[in-house]
Amino acid sequence: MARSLRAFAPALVALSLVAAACGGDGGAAGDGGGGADCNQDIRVGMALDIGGLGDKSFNDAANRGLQDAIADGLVCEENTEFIEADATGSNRDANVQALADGGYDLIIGVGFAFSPGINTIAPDYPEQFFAVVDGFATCGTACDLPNDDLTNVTDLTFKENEGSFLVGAAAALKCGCDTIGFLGGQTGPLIGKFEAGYVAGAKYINPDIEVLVEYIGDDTSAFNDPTKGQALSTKMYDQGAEIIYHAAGASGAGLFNAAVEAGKLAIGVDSDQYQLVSAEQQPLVLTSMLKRVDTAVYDVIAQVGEGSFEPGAQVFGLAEEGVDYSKSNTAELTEDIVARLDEIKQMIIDGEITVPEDPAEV
Amino acid sequence: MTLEDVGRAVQIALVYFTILYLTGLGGLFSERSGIVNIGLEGLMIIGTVTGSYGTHLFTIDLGWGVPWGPIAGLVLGLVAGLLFSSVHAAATVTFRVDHIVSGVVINLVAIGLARFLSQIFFGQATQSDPGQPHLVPFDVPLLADLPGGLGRAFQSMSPVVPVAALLVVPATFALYRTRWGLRLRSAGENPEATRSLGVRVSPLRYQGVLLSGALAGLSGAFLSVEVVYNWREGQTLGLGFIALASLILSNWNPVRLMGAAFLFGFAQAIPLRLSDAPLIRELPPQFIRMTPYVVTIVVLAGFVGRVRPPAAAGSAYEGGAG
Repeated sequence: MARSLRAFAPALVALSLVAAACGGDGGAAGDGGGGADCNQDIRVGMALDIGGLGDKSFNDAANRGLQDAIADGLVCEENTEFIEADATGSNRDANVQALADGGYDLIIGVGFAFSPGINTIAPDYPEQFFAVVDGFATCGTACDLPNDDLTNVTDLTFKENEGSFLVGAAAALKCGCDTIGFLGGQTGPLIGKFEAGYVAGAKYINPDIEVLVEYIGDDTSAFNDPTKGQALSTKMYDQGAEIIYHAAGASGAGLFNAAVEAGKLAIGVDSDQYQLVSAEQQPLVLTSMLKRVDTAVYDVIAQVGEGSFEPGAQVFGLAEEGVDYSKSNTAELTEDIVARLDEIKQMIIDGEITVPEDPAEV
Repeated sequence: MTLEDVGRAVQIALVYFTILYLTGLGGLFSERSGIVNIGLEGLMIIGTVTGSYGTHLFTIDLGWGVPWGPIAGLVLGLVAGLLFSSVHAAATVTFRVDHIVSGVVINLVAIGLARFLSQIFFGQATQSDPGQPHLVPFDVPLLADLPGGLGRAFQSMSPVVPVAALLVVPATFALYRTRWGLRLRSAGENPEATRSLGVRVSPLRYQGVLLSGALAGLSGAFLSVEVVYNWREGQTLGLGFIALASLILSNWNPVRLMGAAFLFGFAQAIPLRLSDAPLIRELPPQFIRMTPYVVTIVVLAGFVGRVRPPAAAGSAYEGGAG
């Protein structure tokens, strides 16, 4: 008996490998009914980055933009699809390729790491449009990418430094202390913009304030490691930081765990994280730097639907309402702080304050 | 660097120790019985997703002030790991598939299966909602009051940490002081001789592999339930393989495994807490973040010639009638 079954063993092994490969697919996007009053002319595919749906942060914000577009009839729900990346993000390009081959009119890569892949893939699909959130795909040869002058690609970028300036000021105003902290995900220019704005905002209020800075790692897995996020946050709280701001995607969950343990405040990122964390963490979320990935995604879907797609970089700053700060935690973020922040916000929009992009410039 | 940093580093190291020790001890039983198990990472992955689900699902309060949800999670992770390891046991013991091939399959299937289960459990493929309930952390009496911040090492500790450390006693006793332990070890050293003495090899090897599944599953559940407070895809981050490295360094001995697991656990804590220690602070940050892996390679390279794995580990037992 055993000996005859043995013949099937290689087949079983092969079958399980196929099962493993299939496990990587996402489902059809969202729930809620696809109404009859929707634009049947376009199909939208979205490739998510690591962190995935439910990260309470970046990917969820992108999905919210897609869901809003569906709710407003810009695209029909049955004509949308999203694919989640695997745990290391190694299949980002394959996912974009699959959506392109699937004939989607607009393919959105949610994360800067999609830039090289989309720069390479997009010229092969000239009838379809591509958008990269936080991307540098249109930067071309200047950024060591193969293709220049792509007419069907747009980069949706944000002035995170402006939003971070506001939460840095909020931290300094709130604590009146000498030390605050910053928890970054992956080292590099993108998260550097958050750091630069945050430090500059805090120093605008209190020039003598010390800002502790910790980064989790040097690759995109840094955005998916709450254990390290928590350890590094605890380190900064121990060193006297009263408030810590994170730009670390899903690793930020570790900051909120550390905040509960230390009984100190934290600042969220991308989405209004006050609304998304557990009940025990909620009172400790002072504010969040809102990055309206949802608005940007919604806008680009609208552009493709109207035939007004804008290739090149689209920049969303405070003036374009692409970044902001949240006011949900009224117990901690009191009215006088909000009044002061709104004043500073207007000064940035009016150009009276210039916010640096590089931590070295602060 | 302060004493508090050292205390915190030990605190972090104890968390990683628990993960590495539970998983490594599982691997020890499997390999001592003669079955190489490189599927420990995959077994841990199944433990992380099911452990979080147990916590998520079990919201009934049975009273006595006990956090039943996390306990249900830990138990479910253990059971799921045990069930999943039965695939490896059946493949290697009954069907005599190459142990490495089967172990690789376990690791690959676990990734897909975890997503599949997550979609069913939580309605999203890559994580459960953060901030799940966990066991009440405690301060170790006396040790938590160590001066100068060293006491940090023993503050707000998960109750699973001492439980894992104390497992060394029953594990050592079972392995070296019981008839079962002698037979298990002999199945891994010389299965033909074992069989010739009238002891059936296959049941012993099944028991070894299932124990490894249970312990690796519990280890994964500890990670999601007690460390991160939710399930996240990829949260095992190769710790199953570092547990294997600890196992080799320990020379397949449960007592020495404690030291090996703590050493590798402490290496994990260096970039998180001791990056400004003397010597280490001279390194560029990228190298400091590499230290856990560099330590693993260097230590293994230095010791691997001096350890001796169970003689029959990795080979199928071809004798008749199991």
